[in-house]
Amino acid sequence: MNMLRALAWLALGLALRSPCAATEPPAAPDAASAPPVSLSARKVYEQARSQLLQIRTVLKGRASQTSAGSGFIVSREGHIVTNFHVVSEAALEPATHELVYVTADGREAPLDILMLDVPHDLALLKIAPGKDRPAGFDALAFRPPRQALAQGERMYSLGNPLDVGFAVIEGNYNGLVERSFYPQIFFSGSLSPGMSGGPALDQEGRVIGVNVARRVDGEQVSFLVPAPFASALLERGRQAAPMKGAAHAEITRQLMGHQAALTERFVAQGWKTATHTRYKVPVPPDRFMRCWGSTETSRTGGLDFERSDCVMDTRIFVGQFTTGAISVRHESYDGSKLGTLRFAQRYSASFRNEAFGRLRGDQMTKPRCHEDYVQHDDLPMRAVVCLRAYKKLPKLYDVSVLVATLDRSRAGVQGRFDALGVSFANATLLAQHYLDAYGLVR
Amino acid sequence: MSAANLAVLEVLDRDGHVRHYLPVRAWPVSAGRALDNDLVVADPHVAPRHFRVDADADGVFVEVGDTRNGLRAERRRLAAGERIRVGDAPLHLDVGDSHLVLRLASHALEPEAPLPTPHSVWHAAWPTLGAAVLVLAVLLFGTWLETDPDDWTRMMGTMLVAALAAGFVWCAGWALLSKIFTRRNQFWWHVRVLLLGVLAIELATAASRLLAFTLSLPVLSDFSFVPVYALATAMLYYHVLGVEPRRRRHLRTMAAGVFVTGTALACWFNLQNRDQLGEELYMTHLFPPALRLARPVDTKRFVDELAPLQEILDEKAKKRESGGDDGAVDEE
Repeated sequence: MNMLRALAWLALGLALRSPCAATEPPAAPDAASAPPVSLSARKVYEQARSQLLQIRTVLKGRASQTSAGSGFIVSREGHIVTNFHVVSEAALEPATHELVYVTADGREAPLDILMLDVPHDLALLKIAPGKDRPAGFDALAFRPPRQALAQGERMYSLGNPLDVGFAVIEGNYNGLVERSFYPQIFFSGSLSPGMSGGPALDQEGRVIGVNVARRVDGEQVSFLVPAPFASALLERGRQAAPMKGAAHAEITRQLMGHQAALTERFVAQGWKTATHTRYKVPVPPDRFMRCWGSTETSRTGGLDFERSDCVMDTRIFVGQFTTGAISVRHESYDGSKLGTLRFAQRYSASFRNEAFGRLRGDQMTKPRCHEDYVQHDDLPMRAVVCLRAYKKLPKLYDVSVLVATLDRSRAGVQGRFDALGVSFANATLLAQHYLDAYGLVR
Repeated sequence: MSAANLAVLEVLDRDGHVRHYLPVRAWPVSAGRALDNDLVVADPHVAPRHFRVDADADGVFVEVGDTRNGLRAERRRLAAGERIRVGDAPLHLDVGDSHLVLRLASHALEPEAPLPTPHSVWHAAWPTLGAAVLVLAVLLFGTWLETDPDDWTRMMGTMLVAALAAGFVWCAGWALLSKIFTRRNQFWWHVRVLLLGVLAIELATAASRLLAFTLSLPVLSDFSFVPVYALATAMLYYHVLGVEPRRRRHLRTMAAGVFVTGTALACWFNLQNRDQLGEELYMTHLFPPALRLARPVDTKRFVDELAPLQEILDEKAKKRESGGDDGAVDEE
């Protein structure tokens, strides 16, 4: 199938990874266009300065950092909230990586991981016991969830962008991100790599959210994990012992929960109706997915087609890759100008043009497929289901379903369904759910 | 030339033609590197007195002289001092790097082989011409299938020129080899081999794909490379036969070896890259729906048949493995 994508964009995790991107020279100062930092930004930063940390992942015994993010202290006992993706190397490869924090005044000390919330990309850390450890810490308070923010309200995101130094970034609250699987705050301010895990504060200095990602194809389109998830994680993990060993089992357990919720919500929402004049073609509703469509007309009297591409914004970061998402797409082909044989050739080539190599062999097995002719609602189709298993996340699989309708000789629909990181039972459930959505319109 | 020849001892060139020969009017005759032999063989691997040919009451025999290399006759290696009788057919002798034949007057003569005259070329040309027309039709059909209606005439010209040029270069190359080794270029032989080979390969490929689609037997298109390899090695065998026509058995064994090795290697690469022996992950050749005979199953049954995959995948997931070459391709 045609590989063009309607809109290519990426939500970038904001942990800073080595090697650091080249610094661009700053633009010429322009006094008129740069608004002065408001008094409240200064006040907020002054208040939060002692609770703000840089979280570094360091190679054990080599003292060189492999990534850097931000974090903030949330309890008197020294609990710290940051993003899971800031600490993922230390969580997944504890034998070679360890965590340290650096405060705004340059103090440095080791950290333990207490608990992870992989679906929301959060981690709860604690300052490791040691002789220099102070008796109590200043903590940032969470803004109570019942005090709703109004759109446009001023807020401040703190962190250490690009390992340049601690910074306060002013921006506005813009409500929740639409069609996100898990709630995320849409913050219009410029987040940069290195600020991940830093707090976003209201004008009273209370935590509204945790910096997590930004869109690289837009300006000042940034995302925050809402504070209630962080405070819930703190409540769950306050008394927890430091995690020992690699976190794969815990991540797998949380992904199992995620895929169960994802499958349930996906199946429950059903399909859109009237997606094709002749066929029932599965297109999911725009709840937590976004569908882009395009049409292409051949300029050489060949194949005309329309396509629809539905993807989720939410993907679960699990170290070297992301998973836990569903995508659905189809192409509707019209070969009336081509004739039967030429259409069959194009249709066949499109069916062949599918990739299954998302991750390398050290992360996943090679695909295994099952194929046959299937019929549903009087529509005969060729169906292929390919599965790959994750090597470090046992009992989780990627499933892909390919469908090509085979009822007409000069037209047809080909569809592809992908679910990443689902259980085998849900893979088969989703495959059947997808196949059962095909049929002839009566 | 009054006395009748009892025999001739011929020295062959590498193309099998006689380079020179020694007429034998009296026994014994000797052969070797020394200049006082009847037949002087200027070969560094030949002894000064390598062998002699003599006759006794029982007939003619070859006796190996004082040589460390010995000689080969009738598929036997003979050491110094051994003897071999000359039977009812000319005796081939491998002496050092030289090939000799001993022909006796008593041996029956092969009938005269006809020259490949222009007439016989034209006689054989009809099947060649037929095959040429078919191959052209197949190639034109393939190009027609792959090009959009508006591009068709332009592509047809390009395809014809490219196919003719490639075919000519291929056959001319083989003809040159034939000329070097057999003194005849055998051009039309090579043309015929190419045409029939291409035709057979195209038909076998199309047939295996069509059958796979019609009967829903993915294994047929998955392993369509096996008959293609068989046909390609057969084609190569006949090409080589036009270069080395005298070693048919030897070449046949080699061709079989090439086929088996090639197929095994292809399977091995597939196993490395795709974790399966076949070529395709799934059947990718779709024909017009009217050609489908296999009955569809319902979605429930189809999905139920996925169950065995779980155990296979779980087993594979436990194995460590370096990244295959299909890895690192992003979804798009």
